[in-house]
Amino acid sequence: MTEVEFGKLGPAIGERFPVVILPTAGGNLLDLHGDRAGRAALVVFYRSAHW
Amino acid sequence: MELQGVVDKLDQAGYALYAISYDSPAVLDAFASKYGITYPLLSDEASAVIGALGLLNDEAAPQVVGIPHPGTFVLNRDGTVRSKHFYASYRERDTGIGVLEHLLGMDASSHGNIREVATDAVSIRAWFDTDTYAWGQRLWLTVELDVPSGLHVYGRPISEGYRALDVEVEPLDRLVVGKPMYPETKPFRVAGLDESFQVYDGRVRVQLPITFMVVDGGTLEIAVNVSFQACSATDCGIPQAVRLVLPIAEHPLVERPQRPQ
Repeated sequence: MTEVEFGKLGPAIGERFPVVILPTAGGNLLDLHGDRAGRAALVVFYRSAHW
Repeated sequence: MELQGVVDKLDQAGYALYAISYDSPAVLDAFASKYGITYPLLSDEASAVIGALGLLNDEAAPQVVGIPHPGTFVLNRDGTVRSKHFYASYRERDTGIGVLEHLLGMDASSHGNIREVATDAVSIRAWFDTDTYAWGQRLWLTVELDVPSGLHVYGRPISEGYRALDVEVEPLDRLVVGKPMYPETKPFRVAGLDESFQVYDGRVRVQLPITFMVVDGGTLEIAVNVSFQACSATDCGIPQAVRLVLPIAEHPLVERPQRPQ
């Protein structure tokens, strides 16, 4: 089983999640922290909607 | 997408949900329409965010580049990262669901970061009960397996030739590792055979205590080896061994012990 250094992937625990502004499925830009509006959140990275 | 099933529960629990991939908005739009997705699907077509966060995954290269390591970040209300969960398997599956169910199922007690690995059938995750250790502190390590319905994993006593569930922590200087506590097995009789096996199925939790007799250790990486064999009523898979590495940070002491033992 391949082992990736998961502890090092992405921002560290306790670090502020970076600003993420990306287009949505609808085509409009969404600012993640702004949209969150002070709520806790789950940000899921997945390989692809296609496969 | 299985995530859609838990969106309401997440919302009630006060969590927003976002999914990010490298698909174009058009692909995401078709996907959202087809599956009735109500939470934001974000398009990182240039993999700019995926790359900037250090999540680029080269497992499928050179055929496919720009995909992320599948995983989930849980953010606190102030936008800081509370925990992150990554998966060794790149196969087609919704890797967020196990974490979400776990998150929603949790009570008010805190827990440390969860590390998870998905094998062909069984998912394994592990966590400490807190994110930091202090000198002399005893923490509990929990290893949890999700055995899909129709399969079971062997426990002890075990017949010759089969692999029983075993959880072992790799020794580390100054760590005192206690005996793992395994749950009760249940008997499983294979039709046509006289033998009865002791097995586990569904969600299986093994816990063991670790005492940290460490000062100035900084962040430690605790490696846990989980070996098991999953079988159905008719076939057995090959014995598997999975290694999870759990980082745990040191909690700064206000007063240092004069003589560490």
